[in-house]
Amino acid sequence: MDVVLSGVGGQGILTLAALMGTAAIVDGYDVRVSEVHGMAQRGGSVVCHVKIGERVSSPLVMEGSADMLVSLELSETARSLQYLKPKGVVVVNNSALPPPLSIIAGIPYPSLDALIEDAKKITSDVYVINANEIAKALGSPLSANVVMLGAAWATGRLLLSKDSIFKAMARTFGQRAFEANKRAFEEGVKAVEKLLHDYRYH
Amino acid sequence: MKGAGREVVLMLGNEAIARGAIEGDVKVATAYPGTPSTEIVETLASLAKEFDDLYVEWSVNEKVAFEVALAASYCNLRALTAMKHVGLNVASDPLFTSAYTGVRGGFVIVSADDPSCHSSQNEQDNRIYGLHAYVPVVEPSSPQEAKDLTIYSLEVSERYGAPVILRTVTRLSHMRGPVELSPPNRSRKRGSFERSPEKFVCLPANARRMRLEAIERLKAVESEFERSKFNTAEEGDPEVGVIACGLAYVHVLEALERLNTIRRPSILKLSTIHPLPRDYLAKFLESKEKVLVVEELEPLVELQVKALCHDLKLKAEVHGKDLIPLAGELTPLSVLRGLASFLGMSVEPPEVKPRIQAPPRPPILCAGCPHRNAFYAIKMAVRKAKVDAIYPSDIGCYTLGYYPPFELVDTTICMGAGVGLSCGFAKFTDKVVIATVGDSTFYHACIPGLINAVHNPSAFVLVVLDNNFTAMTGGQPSPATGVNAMGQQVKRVLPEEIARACGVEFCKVVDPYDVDSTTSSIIEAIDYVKKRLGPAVVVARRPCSLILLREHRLGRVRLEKRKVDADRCKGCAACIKLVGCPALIPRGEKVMIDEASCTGCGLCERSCPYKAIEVVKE
Repeated sequence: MDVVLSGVGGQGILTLAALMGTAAIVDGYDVRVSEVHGMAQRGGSVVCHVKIGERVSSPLVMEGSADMLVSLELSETARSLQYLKPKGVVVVNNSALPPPLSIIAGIPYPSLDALIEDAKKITSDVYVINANEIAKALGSPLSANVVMLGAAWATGRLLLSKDSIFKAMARTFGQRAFEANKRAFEEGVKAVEKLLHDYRYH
Repeated sequence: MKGAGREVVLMLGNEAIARGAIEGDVKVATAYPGTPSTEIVETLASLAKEFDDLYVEWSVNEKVAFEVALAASYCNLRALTAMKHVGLNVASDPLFTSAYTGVRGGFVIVSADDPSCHSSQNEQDNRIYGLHAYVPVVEPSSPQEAKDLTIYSLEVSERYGAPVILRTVTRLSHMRGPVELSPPNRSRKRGSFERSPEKFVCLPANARRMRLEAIERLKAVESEFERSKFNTAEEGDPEVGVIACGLAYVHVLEALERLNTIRRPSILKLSTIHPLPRDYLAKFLESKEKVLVVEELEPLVELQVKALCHDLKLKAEVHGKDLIPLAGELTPLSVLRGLASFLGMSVEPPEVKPRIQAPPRPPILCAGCPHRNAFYAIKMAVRKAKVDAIYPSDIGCYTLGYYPPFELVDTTICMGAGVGLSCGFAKFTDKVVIATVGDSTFYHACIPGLINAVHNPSAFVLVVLDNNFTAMTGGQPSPATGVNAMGQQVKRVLPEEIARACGVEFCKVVDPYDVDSTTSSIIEAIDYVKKRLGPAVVVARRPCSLILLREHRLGRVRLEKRKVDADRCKGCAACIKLVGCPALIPRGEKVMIDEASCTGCGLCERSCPYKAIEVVKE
């Protein structure tokens, strides 16, 4: 299973990728996580690749083959959409961080509707939640990344068990942060379950 | 990283190299931070408390790092030095001659290359250093192999007395994968140096003999590599072969899965790149009609395989860079295309062309970065002094001053070139020269240039952006910090003291958060260099904003964070356009300030024409 995570430096994408990687090991899979360090992290766009399976070779996802795209920033969805395979799943955080340089240069920021329309040409499985607001409401604004992990898991397309994700979280965070992130994960799950419910019954 | 059992841990390639150093009894590890190599010695520094026989240092530059580790090896201790590809240019002087003297304790030089220039000024292929300097080179294909090859390199180095280069690339250094831990194998060795000047003094008379010894050592290593278990051959089509080097191997595996060939080619995974195991290769090549060499960047193996086929009169037609890209890192897709064309197959890789383009998002200076204030002050000073200026700069976070709204970076070449180029620009043009370099870069390579500017008088303004740390690579201590890699409190080395000792007569220290006095000091410096007497140094000192935020969270400093009064904000975005701070976020028709990342530098408040930005009252 190939996952692409995209967003902006500082949003906790590396932590998210490492959580998926550790959970994969707990579940007994082979895994490769490709990260971005250094200059690109300074407020630049960040893309991480996570590959999980019985045997994984390259750390990089091939264009057009990601089973899932998780984007922590709205417009960054567009930058990584090329990796998505037909009928893959897209989970988007409806949070806009227009880059200062594009404001200076007068480059327009894409609208949510246009982004969704673009993604829907590849797949009908597009989930949009507002992870920042959910995390803020929980009193832990920094855990928006784990809200997104819960959302990704709730789509049923992530090849990882909840139990192993929690084990990975326990290894990564201290006790207090672990509890907060567990709640963040569950809220992410609920947000997607609500979307699925609304879709089914309306 | 703890534990002595056969535990499997998800590890970064760089952490795996560090683990290999621990398991392989490395006693001394040195580096100058540089992406993508930094985490190797950073990990070892964090382990120095656990292993009291381990010495770790952030050296002032790669040449010094190399020499400190080489001394350890001369003292019969195992040593590792790690650097980014361009760092080895700085350390290349001792590299070449260390191959002449040979080594005693196992000595590994990790060269972390950066294909695609993710965080670098070029994408040179450092495997070529091996050929040039008579130094063996190995190249892993996974984090597990990175650990194993680190240990193997230490053993080979010690057995044959040759320094060994372990070449990694960004995608390996910054890839996480499962790594099986083995118990650390720590000896009780202490350093001891037996004097033998005929071995370590490269006088011409000795050097001529040593070159012959280096050639012999390389031959011995070649026969070792002939039987290395890190090279493997997978039998497939006897007439069609692929030779895959280092990380290229895993892209080849992935591409072959996609191609789903009926006749899978034979695959030779090559981990020992120099000297090439020629007999081993010849055996693989013998029956082949055609072979594709897949390697990252230069056709180093390809050219040698071609030569080998010529020498041995083998019939194989050798392909490589005619089908695999020469520039940029390899990707599964680029290897798939090359391999398909080699096998005469057609591929239609799934191509998705999104209609919407994401707005460009290059890296920018962090919220509250003191460099931003310094650039703002330079811009104001130049405007007020009504001069025409050129802006040489250097390698670090401040290279981002290249982008709007500042655009105050005219050159970036290599560590220290900001000062060296300024020596020239100040002499060969009539413009005012204002150079920017960081504290870590200043110690690394700027001091000889500054002495040169006094000795061969060159009048330029040098602004040392002293944020107390090597910030771009994640805040490692620099000589400005007062702490070292081992966590010892040490004497701070101050750029202004060095500048004065070099003979610089105009030298001022300012706080860039105080924009007015920074601006007036730069104006004074401009007036001074107009007299053409010599260089003027302005040290703009303020800790990195990431450090400031950390200190703030710990309650050690108070920051005057700013907020926007929504009633007064007209949404003109002048703050964003003039300051370009990522804490300024457009929200509907207004701008808001992200409180978590604001450090209270105050620039946005200055820039707001409607006085809508104010200090948050606690």
